[in-house]
Amino acid sequence: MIDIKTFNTVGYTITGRRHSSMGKDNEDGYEVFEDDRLLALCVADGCSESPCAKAASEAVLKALIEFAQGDIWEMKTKQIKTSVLKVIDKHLLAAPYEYRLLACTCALVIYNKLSDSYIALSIGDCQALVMTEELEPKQLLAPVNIFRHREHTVFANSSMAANAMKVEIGSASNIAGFILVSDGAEGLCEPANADDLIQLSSVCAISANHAQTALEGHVSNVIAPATNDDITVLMTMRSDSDRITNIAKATCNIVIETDADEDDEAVSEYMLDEDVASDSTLDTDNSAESETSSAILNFLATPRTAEELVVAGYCIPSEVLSYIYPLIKEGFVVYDDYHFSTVKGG
Amino acid sequence: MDNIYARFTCRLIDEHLVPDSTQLTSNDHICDMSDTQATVCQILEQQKAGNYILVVTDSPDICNLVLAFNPTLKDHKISVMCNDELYADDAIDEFDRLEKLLHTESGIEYFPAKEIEESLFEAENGQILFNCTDIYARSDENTQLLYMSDGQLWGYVLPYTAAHLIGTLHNHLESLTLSDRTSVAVAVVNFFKEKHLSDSIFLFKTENGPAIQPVGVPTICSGKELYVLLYEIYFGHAPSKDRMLSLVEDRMNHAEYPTALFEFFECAFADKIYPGLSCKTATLDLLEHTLHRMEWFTTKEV
Repeated sequence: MIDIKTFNTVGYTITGRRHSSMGKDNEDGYEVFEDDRLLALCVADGCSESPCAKAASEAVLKALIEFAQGDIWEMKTKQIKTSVLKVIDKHLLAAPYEYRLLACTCALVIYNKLSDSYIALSIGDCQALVMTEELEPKQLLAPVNIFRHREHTVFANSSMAANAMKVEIGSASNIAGFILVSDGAEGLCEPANADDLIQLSSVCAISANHAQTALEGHVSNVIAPATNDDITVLMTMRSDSDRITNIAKATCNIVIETDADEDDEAVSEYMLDEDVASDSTLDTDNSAESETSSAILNFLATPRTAEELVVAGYCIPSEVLSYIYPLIKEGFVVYDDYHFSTVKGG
Repeated sequence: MDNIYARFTCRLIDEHLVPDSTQLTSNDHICDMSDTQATVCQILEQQKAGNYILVVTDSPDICNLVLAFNPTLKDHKISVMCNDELYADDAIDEFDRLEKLLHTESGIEYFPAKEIEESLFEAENGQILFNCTDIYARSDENTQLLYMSDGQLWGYVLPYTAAHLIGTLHNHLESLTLSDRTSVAVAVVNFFKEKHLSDSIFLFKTENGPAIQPVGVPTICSGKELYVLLYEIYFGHAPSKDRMLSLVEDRMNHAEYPTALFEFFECAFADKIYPGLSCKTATLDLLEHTLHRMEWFTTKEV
């Protein structure tokens, strides 16, 4: 008889401060699909610079769920890359916007309940972690941040998507759960915050209801004050393993019995245990976007070649034009004699 | 009494017309002119048997009657010598054609009937014949090669009919839609992978969309040459020495093209744009992926 694992799955996404201040929607999103044979979780993060970021992330989430339900378990890595991009393209092209404007990053984890194996993939700076049965977080899919510059990544509609896509296929025999985050929640994945992650996953392993509340509290009170970005966290933890549950109970800072005995107070207590960041970290005066534009315009005050832009870490080869083009189009930058330069008084 | 001399020969017409018509040979038929209709029928009977005939007569009526049949004859045109005047234009034309007759190994014969482009002929059956004596120019092993009567290679048969021909690809790029350009680009890459890509390419229009046929010896053998050709296909002109300048200008001019295409060409020309970085240049995998995406993109466009 096959031992089918069961999971508690919770997710939360909120609009970042920058978008809130601009009156824009949350451009992140997540989707969960579960049936008798698989559990699929995905997150997507629309590119803020794109006017169709929300549509892009919605389309890509649909695509990833469709891909997850396909006949994918015999596929090799290369075939997975081709197939998932084909489905993504199909959904992006069905969207009522220009393909090139539908930029977003994404991550997907598909757990096969029958074979106890998983396929995980990501494009861009969304990332995924696994929680071992000892409730230790380990990185599964690292974000693609070009030159450690968080503004530079690869999007699902980029020609680089196939090359930059990360794919992991493996057995879930020693895995207690998966955690997927958009780049707005990347802090949660840092080693310094491993305790937070362990606490959240412990709660999740014990009770989905408590975990949802705890997650919302942590995202709103801990992660959100430290970033301008939209934030999405999606996690799933095994709920049917006594060993994992016992470890979770031992690890958890609060006492949680069952989902039926929902204890809001306990969760609040857990939330209060967190060192909630103060409002002093809020900085809404300058958006990251305008900072980036200012930096590049200052850099191009002296004419620079495309090569110099790459060396300076502004962008990667093959995407210099994509990076600079909006500034050229708006008349802030010109290209002449092998050099980009800022237009004086532009 | 008028006499009709009919000589049956397979010799070239300029050889069998020279002999003195008054000197009969054992092959000559001498017919009684008393029944004109029966005489003409007898002449045509010999013609149908596959013989070339010279009718020697002093009767203008017979001369005109026989010559009137010539346009109705597909081959073996009849020549007439009437009162020492030779009427052999039709037969000479036929021999000229026969001299140009091409053969294939399979025994099929072709006439390069009409030149429709430089080195490109339309055969009587509508097929396109390409005059090229380099054996390496053929596009694949199944290409039907054409030989002259002396056994020398003349060229080969292209797998399209003249009705499909648009012309030289480079002269018709402006008429192509983005979808057409992608179809052509995919075909170009396939020919490149088969090592049959030259810079001389003919463009055809088929029921399944545009098709191409590279002709001549393969000359595009490196990725760099391929990328320049693809750039021409998408943008209608070769990239300038300053590749980034071309990309900037063409991105302005083709705002409808997807970003991925420009990113691919930036990657393809990385050695020119980033000479000091030793960047990884574009690969065929990346190219195929980009074209795959362009196909999806252009599907939407259509």
